[in-house]
Amino acid sequence: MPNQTSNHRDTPLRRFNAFWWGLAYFSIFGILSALVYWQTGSPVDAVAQERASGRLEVRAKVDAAQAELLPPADATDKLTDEIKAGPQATDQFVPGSESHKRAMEQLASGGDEAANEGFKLYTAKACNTCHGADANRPISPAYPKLGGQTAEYLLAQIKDIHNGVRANGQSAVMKGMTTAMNLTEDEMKKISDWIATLDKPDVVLPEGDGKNLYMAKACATCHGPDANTPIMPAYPRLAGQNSQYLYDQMKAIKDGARANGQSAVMKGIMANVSEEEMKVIADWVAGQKADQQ
Amino acid sequence: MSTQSNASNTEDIELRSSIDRSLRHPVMFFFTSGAAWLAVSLVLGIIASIKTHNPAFLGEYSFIQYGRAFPAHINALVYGWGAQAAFGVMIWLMARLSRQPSKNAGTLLVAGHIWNLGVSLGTIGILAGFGTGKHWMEFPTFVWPVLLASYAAIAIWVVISFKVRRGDHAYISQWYILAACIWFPWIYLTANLYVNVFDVHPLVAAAVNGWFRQALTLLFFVPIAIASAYYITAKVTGRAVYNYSYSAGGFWALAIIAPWAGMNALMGAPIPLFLQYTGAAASMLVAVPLIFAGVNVLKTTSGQAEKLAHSPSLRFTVAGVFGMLSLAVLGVILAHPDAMRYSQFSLAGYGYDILALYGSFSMCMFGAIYFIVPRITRREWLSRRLIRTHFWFSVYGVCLMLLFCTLLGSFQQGAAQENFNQPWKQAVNSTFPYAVGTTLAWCAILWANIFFFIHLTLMWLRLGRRSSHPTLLRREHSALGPHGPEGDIEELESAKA
Repeated sequence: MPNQTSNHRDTPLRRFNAFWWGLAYFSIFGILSALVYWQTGSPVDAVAQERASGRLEVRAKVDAAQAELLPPADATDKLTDEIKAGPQATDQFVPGSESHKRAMEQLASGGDEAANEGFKLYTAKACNTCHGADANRPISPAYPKLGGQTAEYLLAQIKDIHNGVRANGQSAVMKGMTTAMNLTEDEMKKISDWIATLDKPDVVLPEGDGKNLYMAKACATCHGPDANTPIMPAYPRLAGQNSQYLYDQMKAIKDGARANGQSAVMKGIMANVSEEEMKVIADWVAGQKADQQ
Repeated sequence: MSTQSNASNTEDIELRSSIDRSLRHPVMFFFTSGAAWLAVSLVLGIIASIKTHNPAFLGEYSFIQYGRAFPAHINALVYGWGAQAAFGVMIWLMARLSRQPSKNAGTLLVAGHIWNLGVSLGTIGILAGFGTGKHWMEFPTFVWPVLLASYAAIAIWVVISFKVRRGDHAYISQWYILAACIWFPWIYLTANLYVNVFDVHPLVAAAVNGWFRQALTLLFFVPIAIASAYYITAKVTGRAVYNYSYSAGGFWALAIIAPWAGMNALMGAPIPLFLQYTGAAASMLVAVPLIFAGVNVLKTTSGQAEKLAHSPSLRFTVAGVFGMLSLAVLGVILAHPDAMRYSQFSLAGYGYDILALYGSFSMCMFGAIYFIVPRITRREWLSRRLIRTHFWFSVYGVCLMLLFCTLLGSFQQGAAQENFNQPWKQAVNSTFPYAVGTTLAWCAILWANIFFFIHLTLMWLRLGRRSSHPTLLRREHSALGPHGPEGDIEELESAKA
């Protein structure tokens, strides 16, 4: 019969040993991990470095190519500043601009069914994500303002981008959207019709070098002296467009990167316009807000 | 002969009550604070689960957005409830089986408070946005050394108590507890070194993290659950464990297989193929030790239907063992490389974790708590109805979770995600009913544990019934009430003598 009251195994020495051995067991795998880490953590060998150099070169190339495609680094900062300053400077603020408010009111009151449908599609197909709620506040200066553009021109561009005929610049993004959203021709037409009813960008075109150059290079022949009255609906209205976008398009048409629709006509004209001149024209056509003059 | 055995019987009772007395405060502390963390984790779990089907729910509060509520939920469940329930069961069971009162209640209590402080800081850290984003290791990195140190201060006494046990015999429960005791620092220290300290390739860290989750489940929570299940069934049924070879075989099978499991979480990632496939094979093979232990426990209880129905401890334990067997089957299904196509990026992993942590481990812990608490507080549980509610709503919750989250939802989601002909949103939409089902499951579990927490707190405040009759889940009425005569245990015993 074992004695219940005394326990010959319970000695201070045994407790002491168990304590230290126990802690050793607890930490042994940590020590092993550290040893494994220090043993295997040798510096990268020459072969690996040689292999990596090829990869790094390709990566540098890709990075450079990407950087070229992207809008300038400070573009988003500028845009942010513009948006921040917006509410005080003008009523054209996402999403509460006048034409957007009107569209919302019209929608609420029933209104014109065809126009409402265009507005609903514009939102439902996520056009507003990039071009803004009132179609005039694109998220990037590389994207165009759309409000008040002629319906024919808009429809033609949407179709061309969708079919891959126009593929310059940021068209890849837009093509992705038209595909992902399953835009039908009928829907494209409704959206274009609705956008055409909106307010044009609210700007004033000043006198000066820009205007002179615009006239001298014969831009006015087709797009109108105020850059807003094209001679046919297949030509775009330009006044108030983002300067960055205008410049990109002029360059793309001159280089042949954009060759859809009536671009062939424009390409001939652009042959006589240098990049510096394009910049000046683009800045002038983009115009100034009325209260900044 | 009879007087001698009577005398030794009395000595035995005295020894057991002195063990219970020596551990009353630390064990009750671990159980009650664990139950409180369980409640916190369940509330966070419900919020996170609602956000999966209703993202705008409470959307304006940044501290409980999904990316914070979910990790806070799972970490509070693992370290707040799981580990603390395990500590309580470990120290009590080891002391009882070693037949040696504890001399270190004070140290245990202090270490327990430090552990709770670590878990609190970690959870607040996650909610404040300082989570690390590594599954089950989301606590800000300063927390893990604190937890590890307080773990060492708690678990070292378990090791010592085993070394100074009376007699040379070691019970199977002691094997499992001692092993879990040593495995936890191995898993926790290695994983944290590789993920948080060493400057290793991020893929290595991700693979180690995948191993960590599976290892913590299979090498800490599962062994503790098995240890408690063996003890409770043998004690309550008054029988020896069904088959000794099964116990030993199950133990060594677990020790050999389980450490390999886990890296299958990175199936298809650019880590060596053998790691992924060994992980998958081990996750499936781990069914063997789980079935060994499960069958052994169930065989021990066979033919004891009445005890099973009446004893809350046995009922919870057997439910936990069924949870363990379903975990074994699910491991085989979900970790199969063909099924991983569907289960890898779906709800399945979460469902598996919850089945392991709640359906199997927690149910066994509840069984142990219903057994231990009356013995250390010397009061009986107050209400059969509270226990029944706790049991049934837990079972409903686990079954709903198993059905909606682990099986149907995960495969539906996985198949929808694999179908490239339909938009991604369709896959999200098709998961909606299962996500709602998961929320319902959590609500049932929360409902169950509110009653458990209240009941346990009353017991902790020593407001339990003073009676020598345990609270059994019987329905019959007697003149004396369902629990037999009321009164203090000492008085009743002296009256009997």
